[in-house]
Amino acid sequence: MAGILPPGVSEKAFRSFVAATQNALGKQHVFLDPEWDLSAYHDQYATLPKAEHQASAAVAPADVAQVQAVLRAATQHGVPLWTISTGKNFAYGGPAPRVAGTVVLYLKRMNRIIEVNEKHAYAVVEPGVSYFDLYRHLQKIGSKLWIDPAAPGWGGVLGNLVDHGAGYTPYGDHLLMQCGMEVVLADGTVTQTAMGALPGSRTTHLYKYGMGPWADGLFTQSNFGVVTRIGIWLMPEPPGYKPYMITYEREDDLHEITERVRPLKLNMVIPNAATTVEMLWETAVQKQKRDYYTGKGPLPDSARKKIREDLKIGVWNFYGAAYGPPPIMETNLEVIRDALVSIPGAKIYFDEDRVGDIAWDYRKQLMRGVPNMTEYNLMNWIPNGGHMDFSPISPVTGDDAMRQYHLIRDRCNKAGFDYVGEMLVGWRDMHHIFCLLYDLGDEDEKRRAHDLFEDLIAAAAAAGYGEYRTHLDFMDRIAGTYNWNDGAQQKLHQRFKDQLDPRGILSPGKMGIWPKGRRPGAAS
Amino acid sequence: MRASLVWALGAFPVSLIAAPEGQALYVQHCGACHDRGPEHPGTARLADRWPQQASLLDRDALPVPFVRVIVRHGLNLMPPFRPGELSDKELQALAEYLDAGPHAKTGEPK
Repeated sequence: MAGILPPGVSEKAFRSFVAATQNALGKQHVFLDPEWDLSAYHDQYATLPKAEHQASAAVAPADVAQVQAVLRAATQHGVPLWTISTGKNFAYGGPAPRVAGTVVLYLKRMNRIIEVNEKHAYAVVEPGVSYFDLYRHLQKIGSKLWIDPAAPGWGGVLGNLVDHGAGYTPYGDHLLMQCGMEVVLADGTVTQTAMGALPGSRTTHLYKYGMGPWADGLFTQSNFGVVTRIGIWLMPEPPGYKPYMITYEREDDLHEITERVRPLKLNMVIPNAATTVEMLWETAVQKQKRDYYTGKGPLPDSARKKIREDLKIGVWNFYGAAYGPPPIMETNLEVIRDALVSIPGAKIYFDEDRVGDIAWDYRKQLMRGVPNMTEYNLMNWIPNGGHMDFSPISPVTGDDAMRQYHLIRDRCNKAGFDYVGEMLVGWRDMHHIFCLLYDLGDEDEKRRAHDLFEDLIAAAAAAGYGEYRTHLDFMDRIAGTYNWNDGAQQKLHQRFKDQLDPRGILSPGKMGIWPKGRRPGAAS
Repeated sequence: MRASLVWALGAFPVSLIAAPEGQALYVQHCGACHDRGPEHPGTARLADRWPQQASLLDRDALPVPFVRVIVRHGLNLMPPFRPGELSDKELQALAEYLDAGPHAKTGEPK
């Protein structure tokens, strides 16, 4: 594939930008070869042709001064940048830019763990620090602090957080646990947010909100600045940890499970992500579809029944954990047992009951903050599998859970795909994650997957559900569903964009936010 | 010269002479997907083609150029790894480590 230019940028201007960044970063950190260097900035699981999101170059600064130098060169030559941290945001587009030709601003080399504070239980990290990196560092220094990893442990602590990612320990709402942020604005200004704005502040990573508007949120899922450092609260290792799993026999049990989980979450009896997992998610992390079915289309009921018997799983499988001193855990478990195991057919399992169970083992690790990659096994369900996640938010009610489940599963099966999904209750919300698996070698299947995704967005929005995060290909589409009062919120985002990045160099199109003159449908 | 060294020490377990840096890089970048056991997605995938050597640790034929191409371009569910996370020099050391397999240990305690 031949090299391409950023949109609207002349070859001369592009060469000048490249020369300026090579000068500032060193030639070895500016990547230009489309065949050997830039293929690694593709979305490995793209359903559209890779050319749609091909980068023209990638630049990898090592520190804030180099980020500023890149921003200066980009501003001077009108070159758009797409900021990524570790570049592992797979299912949502991975490292690839929204618009072909955008230069990837790759922050993996900024990989310092700046501080681990054992007393106040937090860490301060740069964008290149992965969950594995932070976990191994804490192990190495003998820390008694836990991390909260996303399911794939190679993800970035900062990158996942600014994309509103979630995990499975009691610290699973990552943005809630963020405290203190350093941001480089498009004009090169470096700012510390909240308490960090006070020179010599002693509470930068202890109190989130500072004085005045809390700006940190503006730099998440946005393109208003480059986040170069965050503080992240870490959970102190509790004196006890007891994960459990409860299996349910009937599809409709989802209604009752969700109704009973709501008060347990509201009252914090279940402190971590309360996760109800559909049987195929449990299956796909340890079996291949062809082990049970070699036909086309979704798995038939007979095969589903056989799987449940073989793997000793339910149609729904609920995961949670108790944490703390043993008497507290025992008391909480008593309440949980009363509420959740009293549904007819429910069975509760603990660690000693699930020896050798891959699905249990990786969730047991995640709920205590041990990063791993087992969930990527989902893609092994089919040969040459890829995936995208469709992730609407739901209220925590039985009616909503059933409505969303049918809304997605029925369309998914009709389009010829298996429903592989889970529902995670955070506090008052439920993340419904549908992992859409498709064969990367089958063009027709990829097209159908793309079409199904479009269909799901429309159906969810019509029912009052919006997605919390999405793949590059659907950012405009989903941003467009948040259109109350003639798109007042989108217009607000655009006003921020125009003020903070008037030249439009930062991540054009991220979450449907475009620079002036480049908005879809706008006259340029 | 390296090849002759390997040959000369052929009576010893090969992992003894693999570059320590290569092993550390394997642990850092590869082990989570390629260690032994089907809970590792790379191992689970490769079990189709290499049932007895599904983990990269057990493979005895992973030539350096092959490793370099797969790491930089990806394969199936494995996305490519970029020079910013794994430099060309590190990739060379990693590939030499894998080329010198099979290896008895994973390097990272559970």
